[in-house]
Parts: sequence; structure tokens; C-alpha cells
Amino acid sequence: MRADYWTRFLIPPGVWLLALFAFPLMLVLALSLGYVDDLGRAVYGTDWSNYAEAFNPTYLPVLIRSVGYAAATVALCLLIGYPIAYYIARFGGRYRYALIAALVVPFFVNYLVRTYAWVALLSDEGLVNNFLVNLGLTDRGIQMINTPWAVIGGLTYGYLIFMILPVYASLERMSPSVIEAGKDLYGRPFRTFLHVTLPQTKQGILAGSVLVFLPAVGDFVSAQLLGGPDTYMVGNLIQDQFFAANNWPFGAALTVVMMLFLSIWMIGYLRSASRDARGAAI
Amino acid sequence: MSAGGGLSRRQLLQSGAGAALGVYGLGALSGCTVSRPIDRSAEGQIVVPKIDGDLLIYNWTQYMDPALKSGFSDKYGVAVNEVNYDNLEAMVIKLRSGGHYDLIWPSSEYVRRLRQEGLLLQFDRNKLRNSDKVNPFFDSPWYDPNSEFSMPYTYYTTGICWRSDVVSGMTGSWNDLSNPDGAGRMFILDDFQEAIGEANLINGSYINTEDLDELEASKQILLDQKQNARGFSTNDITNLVSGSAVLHQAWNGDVVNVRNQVDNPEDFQFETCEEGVPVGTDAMSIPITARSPGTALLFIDWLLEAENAARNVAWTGYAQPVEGGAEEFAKLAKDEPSIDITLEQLANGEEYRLDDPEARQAWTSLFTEVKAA
Amino acid sequence: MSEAIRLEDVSKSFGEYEAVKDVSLTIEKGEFFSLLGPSGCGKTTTLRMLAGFEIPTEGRILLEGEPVEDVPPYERNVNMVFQSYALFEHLDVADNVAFGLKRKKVAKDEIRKRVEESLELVSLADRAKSHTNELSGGEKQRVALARALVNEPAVLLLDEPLGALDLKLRRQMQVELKQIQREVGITFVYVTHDQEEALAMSDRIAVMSDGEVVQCGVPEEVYEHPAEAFVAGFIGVSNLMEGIVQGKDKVKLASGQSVKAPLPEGCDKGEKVQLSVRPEKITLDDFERGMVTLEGTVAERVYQGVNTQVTISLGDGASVVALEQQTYRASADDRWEPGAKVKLGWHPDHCLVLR
Repeated sequence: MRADYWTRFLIPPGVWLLALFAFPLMLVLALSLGYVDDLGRAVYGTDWSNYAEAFNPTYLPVLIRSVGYAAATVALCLLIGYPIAYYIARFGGRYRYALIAALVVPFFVNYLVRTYAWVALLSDEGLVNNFLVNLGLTDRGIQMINTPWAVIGGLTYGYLIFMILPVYASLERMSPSVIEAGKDLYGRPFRTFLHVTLPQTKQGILAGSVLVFLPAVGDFVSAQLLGGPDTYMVGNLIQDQFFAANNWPFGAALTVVMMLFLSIWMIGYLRSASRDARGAAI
Repeated sequence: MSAGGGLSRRQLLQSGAGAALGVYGLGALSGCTVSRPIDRSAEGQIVVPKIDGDLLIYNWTQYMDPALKSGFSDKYGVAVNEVNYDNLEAMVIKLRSGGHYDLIWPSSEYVRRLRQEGLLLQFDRNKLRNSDKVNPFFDSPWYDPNSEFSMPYTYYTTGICWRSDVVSGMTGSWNDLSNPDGAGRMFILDDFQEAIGEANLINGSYINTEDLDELEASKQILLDQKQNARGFSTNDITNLVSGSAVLHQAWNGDVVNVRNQVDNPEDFQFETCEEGVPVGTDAMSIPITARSPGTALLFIDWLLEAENAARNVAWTGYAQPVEGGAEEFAKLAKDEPSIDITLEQLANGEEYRLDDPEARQAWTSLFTEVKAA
Repeated sequence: MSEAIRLEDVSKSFGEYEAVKDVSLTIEKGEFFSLLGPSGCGKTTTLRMLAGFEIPTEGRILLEGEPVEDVPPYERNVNMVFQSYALFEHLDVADNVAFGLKRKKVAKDEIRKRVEESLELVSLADRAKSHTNELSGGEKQRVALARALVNEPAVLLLDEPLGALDLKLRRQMQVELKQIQREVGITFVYVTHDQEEALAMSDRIAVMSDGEVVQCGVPEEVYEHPAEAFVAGFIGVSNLMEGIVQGKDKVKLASGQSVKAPLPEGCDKGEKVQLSVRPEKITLDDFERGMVTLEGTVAERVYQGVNTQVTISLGDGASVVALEQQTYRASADDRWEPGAKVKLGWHPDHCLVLR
């Protein structure tokens, strides 16, 4: 009876999920089986050919590239985000929350706008290159945007906070005396970090990696604004189907395939997390 | 989900079964279009210019001098509100879902599509004071056979803009996109029709060819040009002004804007190409869901007034095919005459039109393959 | 015996706040030495300076004769048992214990042998492969102990290691800790705020207050002869009574009665002092020759099983607590009803005069 009582409270979030997640998802599924009529309108149908087209080998390099960029983004976010989170959690003292807030505030600005700002900063005659030219380090500026590195950089900048926050949370949850124990047991600072701090924040790193990887692999803004001729990502492919090629059913099929692909990773993560959680609960 | 937070195999199977059931249920949708019925009560009505309420216009960003809105407001005592879209597909989605906009700015192809879908209101252009000042070239165009659903707003050519201080040896051909001086600093427009179109012209094919072999040849040309490119982009103004591009497939109106924004306009030159000059046009139309169609038609007339057209051309950098607008544009193009649009170009110009959805799909997937390669 | 640790005029400030003031101590090898005091007295800071987590603002710390105040913790031959255990949750019990030896690059076989031995020492040999989350509080404490002891440090530092355990387990662990210390012979420096724990386990105790060591000695001395009212008050119930020196071995209490008390050297007539008598030294209605006797009123009576705690008001706001053994009384119910007049007494020898 108690269980029944509490189950009732699951109804509002359940309805919410159904209305805003499950139902649109069903529509995407239905749309992916549709076709385009003579007026360019998407029509629901029962046509699997969009899926056949989605597995066209032409798109394999796009998928591999997207996964590669997203993986590089995760690695960079970790390399940049971990020290920031570490510094704030360990040495931030009473300024901790102010520092975290300072990191979060720029993310209130639209991602597209922030990425445009990078274009202005990093273009061949942008602020950074003008500065370098004035210093005499280069005579006509270095090409920084429209490269794969710029795309990865844009993704890293865009999703860095999703790495910092979970890593920060896991670091803050960790007792400082554990680090002291590491040092007390003859661990030099780097060894202590490697053998104590890092493994103890593994769940934060994993959560951060998933939170960065998922949006990065489907991103289209960074490649569109900072990319070059060879930086076409899955997100751009899907975006083009909807807004350029006017082929919604194919875009929907690509979306479904991508979702299934990402779900595999997500389930892997959830399993690992729940295994760790079970271990910790006993 | 269980209290442990994990997903058991059984739960996964159950949710999979649920999803499958849902898809089966959605099979009932088969054959339905992806939009809901909209109010078509105004169908068949012929709009005449008269004040019938405040105006809500739906336009590209930065595509009209805001002073023209306040001028209209002052003269007729109605409010002119503006909302913006950043691509036509998004605009169409809003129309199909019943958005009440009074005036839109579709391209020629979109005029045809929206008209065939019955989403546009017919109007009587003879009731407009300025309709006879519009360039007769635009009378009864292919996309609007009786000129009753659209009024031309701007027209433009597609060509190549280059930095004469960096790139030399331009020949007036679309092959100039492969000029080695622009290596790594060349952009192709991220627009499947412009990109495939110029390649078709290089091949000597019809610009709107549907022949798959000819398209395959164009794909090869694009793949070669991609070797020389820094990217596919429609931000030609930004790319040229920021110095990222020294060679750019570009619209003439954007080149006007570029030259207005840089310190060295003389270095930004423009050419149209001998193989063919794509000419595009954007029109003004009144959606079937408009609440103040009469005011909208009056506003169209207002924009066609010579003085207003001149003012608007100076502000947008785009030519308007109407008395006052064309002359003003010639002034803007004074220092770089290739930017101006000649009658000859209009007469021989190539317009993009893909009527067959299958051809359209062939084009878009070809362009996707080029970008994905 | 030679010395394990010497602190010479050690002070530690955190900004304006002086946590440890001018502490000098010598701890002998093999000693079980306790730092006792209330929270904020500086005992933990002192321990952390011994471990190397804090660097003294002033003074010197010598470990087996060598100055170590600037030596980082990972180069100091001391190990610490943390109050919160601070076990490495990502490692199993054996790997926790092996952590220090691995960092010191001890040979694998040797590590295995020593880990086994130390787990045996703390009776956890069968839990070597357990995850730390599967251990009880007491077991975690033993792992923390084994993890430190396996390194055979010159000194083992323990920071309130039993604080998180329940009373019964704490008593049991006290005995075990003491046994283990005897077995391994390593110097233990033990921080606690629990006076009973300190008295039961230590060879010597340093009582700290406000950053200073106020008394250092063997448990009996600290208990029986507290040097200051603070020590007397902190260790056990001390029944402090205000009084004025009247003459040779005579003190006039605030309640007006004069009692015999052994005055320390140099006490002048008219000086204000405090008399301290431990509750267990006070008898009620049952006196021997030579005892000091007073009259009072029973204010409260608490039956505690082994004995009965009686609070007696002496008038004038002063009160004392007496502990009466139940040894030869069948029942306490008929005696010392609250409000009843009662006579109390103690031997002058058991009375301590604090200036």
C-alpha cells in the first residue's frame, strides 16, 4: 500500500516524459518511415528506404569523423577541465561557489553566439592574428579557423562546463584526508594524484565524458562555423536534411540511427555506473 | 527503473516492446502530411490594398531598412511589427502550422511551392500605384504565371569575389574557383543549388540538369574544387571581411556589403562568369493566414515607391527591380561595375528551379556526398 | 630509552589565529603518548605537524634526532591513522595495506609477506580481498591501522582513531590497540579528547588547552595531581570549591566552614584558592578518623548501577558530587532522598588545593 501511495507521485513526471519525450520520439520514428511529396512536404508512410540510405557507405566517414572529434573533445575537456575543477575544489575555499558561478555564467550566452565570437577572434585578420602580426611573429596571420582543430576547439569550448561540473562534484565529495593519506603513505604529489585522486573521481570523469561526448558527437554549430571542407559531421548531415535538402524523413531516419548508436554507449555507461554504485552501497 | 538505478535485461526488453507497439500504432498516420490543418477561410479572396489592421511581417534578418517600417506607421497610423527567420524552411514550417504573418519574403522557388500548396493569397496588382514601375522582366514569371501571388523584392547574380591584392590571373570563368592563388582560402557557397549549378555550367550542362551522368561529372568538379577550398559557407560577407577568404563564390549584393565594411574596398573585386550567370530573385507574398492582408498589400506598394526603393537598396546592398531601386544599385556598383545587373544578364540569366522532387533529392544527396567525402 | 620525537618551542599560526603556542615535548621510543584536550586545543595541529601536513611557524621538530619540520609527509618515516579512516575506496583491503610499500618500491614478494603479517596482526587475514565498503567501522579502523603499521614507521600517529565507533567497540579496540602497540613496540602518538581513553591506554599524557601543554605526565599523576584547575576539571569530575587560605593547612570555604587541606608551598593567608576532591573520595554518613566533615543537602540522586551519584548542595551556590559504592548496601532507595540533610567527609590527603 505504501508503494502504491508513492507510485502516484511518479505520474506527473511520467506524463511529462511521455508528452515531451516519448511522443515526439514516436513522431520521429514515424517520420523516418515517410517520404516527400511533390510539393516538398514530408508525408508519413511505411517506407524503410530511408534506413537503407542511412547505411550508405558514403556516410561512414562522417560518422567516424564525428566520433573522432567527439572523443578528442572529451580528452581535451578532461585535460583542461580536470585541473580547473581540482583547483576550485581543493583551493577555492570560500570563493568556490563564486568561481563555479563565474564558469557557468558564459554558458548563459547562446552557443551559436559564443562560437561566432571565436570566428571574430581567430579568423585570419581577427584579433588574435592582428596581435601576432603586430608583434611581428607572422606576416599575414596563421590560419586557425576552418580546420579540424578549430572544430574540436569549438566543441571543447562549448561543452567544457559539462566536464568541469561532475568532476568538481566528485572532487568535492572526496575527503581531503584521503589525499593526505596518500602523501602520508609515501606518495609524492603526482603519484598520489595518479593512485588516489584520479581513481576516486572516476565516476565524475565518466559522467563528464558522457555529458560531453553525447552533445559533441551530434553537434553541427562548431563544424558549420569553424570547420573547413573536410569537417562535415553527423549533426551537419542531419541539419542539412531538414533545412537545406528539405528531406525530413531521411533526416529523421538518420536521427533514429544516431540515437540507437549513442544508446549503446549510454547503456554501457549506465551499467558501469550502477555496478560501481552497487559496490558503494554495501 | 529499479531502485538500484540500473537497467535489467527484462526492463530493456519491455521498453523495446513498448516502442515497437508505438511504432505499429503510428502506422495509422501513414499518408498524412507532417502539419496540422490551418484556417483557409480566406481562400479565393482577392486582396486589395486597404488598411485592415496592424502589420506583422516575417522576413530575413537585416533585409529591409527599419526606417521604412516607421515611415509606413507614421503615414497610415498602424503598427509594423517584424519577426525574423534564418532559413526559408523554418519560415514554411511556421506557415504550415498556421502562423498569422501578413507578409513574407520567399525565393522564386518557394513562391511556386507555397502557391501550389495553397498557402498564398491572391492579390490585385492593378490596384497598386507603383506596380507599373516594376521591371517588366518580372511580369508573369515562371513561378507565378499571372503575377497574382508575388511581387519581386530583390534580384541578384551569383559570381566570384576575390581579393585582387592576393589573387591574380582571374579569367571570368567558374574555373577561377580553382585559382591556385586562393588555395586554402577559397569558399564555395554552402547551398546545393549554387554549388552544383556552377559545376553544371562548367561542364556545359543545363544549370538545372536532371541527367544523372551530367550530375556525376559535376560532382567530380566539385570534389576537385574542394581540394582548393577552405570550406562550404553561406557567410560570404563574414568570410571575406574577416580575411578568411580571398576567393569566394558570392552573391553580388553581399559583395556590396563587404565593400562597405572594409578599409580597402578596391581590393574586393567581383566577376560574373562566361559559362552562365545564375540570377535569383526574392519576392514578397501574403500568406493565406494573414490577418491584415490589405495593409500588407499597401506595405508592398509602399516599398515599391521610387524613393523608398532607393533608400532600401542603399541600406541592404541588394538591387530591387523597380524604378529608383535599380538606379540606386547602379550607383552602389559604380566602382565595381561587374556587381551591377544588366538587362542582358537578366535576359540570358540562369534561374534555379527544380520542379521534380526526385531530381531535387538527387541534387541534395549529391551535395551531401561532396561535403561528406 | 632514547627519544623518538622532540618538539622545541613549536608554534603554529593560521593567519591571526595561534593554534599551537610554544610547545616543547619529548616522546620516548616505544612510548604510548597521548595528546589530550578539548576540541580546538591544538592537539590535532600538533599531530599534523608531526606528520608533515603542517609546517611549524616557529620551533624545531626532531624525529630520532633529525630535524624534520620542513620534510614533506611522503619523505617522513611516520605514518598516520586518520579519524575518518581515509581508506582508498577504489582498492581492496590488501591493496590498501600495500599502498605505502608499493610507493616505497619494496619487492613484490616482500610486500605480499608483510601485508599478510599486518593483516594477521589486526585479525583481518580473511578479509584481504574484501572491498573497503563491505567492512564495518571497526574493521575499517583495523585496515587503517594495518596500512600504517605495515610500513614500520618510527612513530605512528593516531588522530582520534576510535571517535567514530560505538562505546562497546571503542572499549574493545582500546584494549586491542594497546596490545598491538606492545607487540610491535612502535612509538604511538595518540590524539584524543576522551580522558578515560587517554588514562586507560597511555604511558604518558600531555594535556593541552588553548594551544599550550598545561601538564605532561603519567596518567596517575595527571589524575591525582592536576597542575591546574583546567586539568582537574577536564579529567574527571573534580568538585571545585572556592575558598580563602586562613593559616597553616586551613582553608575557609565559601559556605563558611573551615577545613583542613594540604597547602602547596608559598600560599599566603588571605589568598583565594580552589579545593578539589574527586567524587569517589567523598564518603557520606560514614567517616573515619581524621576526615574533614561538612554538612549539606541532597540535591539530586542518580542510580548508576555500579554506584550511586549524589549531588550535594553546600549552600551558597556551591555543590559537590559524590560517588557511593553499592558494595554493602542492599538498596539505595531508602537513603539520600533529595532534600535530606547529609553529612559528607573526605581525608585531607585526598584534597587538592589549586591556586
